[in-house]
Amino acid sequence: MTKREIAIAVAKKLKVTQKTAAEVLDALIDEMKSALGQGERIEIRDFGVFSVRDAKKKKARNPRTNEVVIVPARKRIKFVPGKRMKELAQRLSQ
Amino acid sequence: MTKADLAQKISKSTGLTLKQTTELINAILETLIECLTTPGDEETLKKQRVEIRGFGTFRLRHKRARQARNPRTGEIIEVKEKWVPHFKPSKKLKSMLPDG
Repeated sequence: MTKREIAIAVAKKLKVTQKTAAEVLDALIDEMKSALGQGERIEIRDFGVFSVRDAKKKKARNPRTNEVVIVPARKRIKFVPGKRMKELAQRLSQ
Repeated sequence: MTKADLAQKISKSTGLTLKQTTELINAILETLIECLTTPGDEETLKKQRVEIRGFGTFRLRHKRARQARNPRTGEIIEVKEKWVPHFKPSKKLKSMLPDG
């Protein structure tokens, strides 16, 4: 599923135009991007939590040349699924 | 930042009412969850994904059944196989993070 398909589904569900749905979806993604870009945590109940964490520097290996390279310390994004998403996913294996 | 904060900002930038915006955000998130967790066989589930360009991709990861231990009692517990939602940030999003 892509952004376009989400917009279509939402427009149908709420009886709004696809343009409105797409606009809000774009705005939502933009706001989330800029919040994470500032290192901010985003908590969306039932959906999940996005947070920016530190990743330590580590040694890795170039699989082609076998050369050891040092990956510098950096930030990474962690996503922890919320209750509803997790529950629906777990139900899939039953 | 919470959903309410997001709704407020988006309502301002789009000119929609806060109520409308909240409804739309809820519907967007719900659509994403439903799409990702649509039941199917293993092959289908492995391919199921929601891709948002410039932001990232949501997929399901399969976790095998395993034995674990209750760290307090030492008791062995069977953990069943399960599917866990996973988010992979896009290169673009990663590049926006503070220092690198």
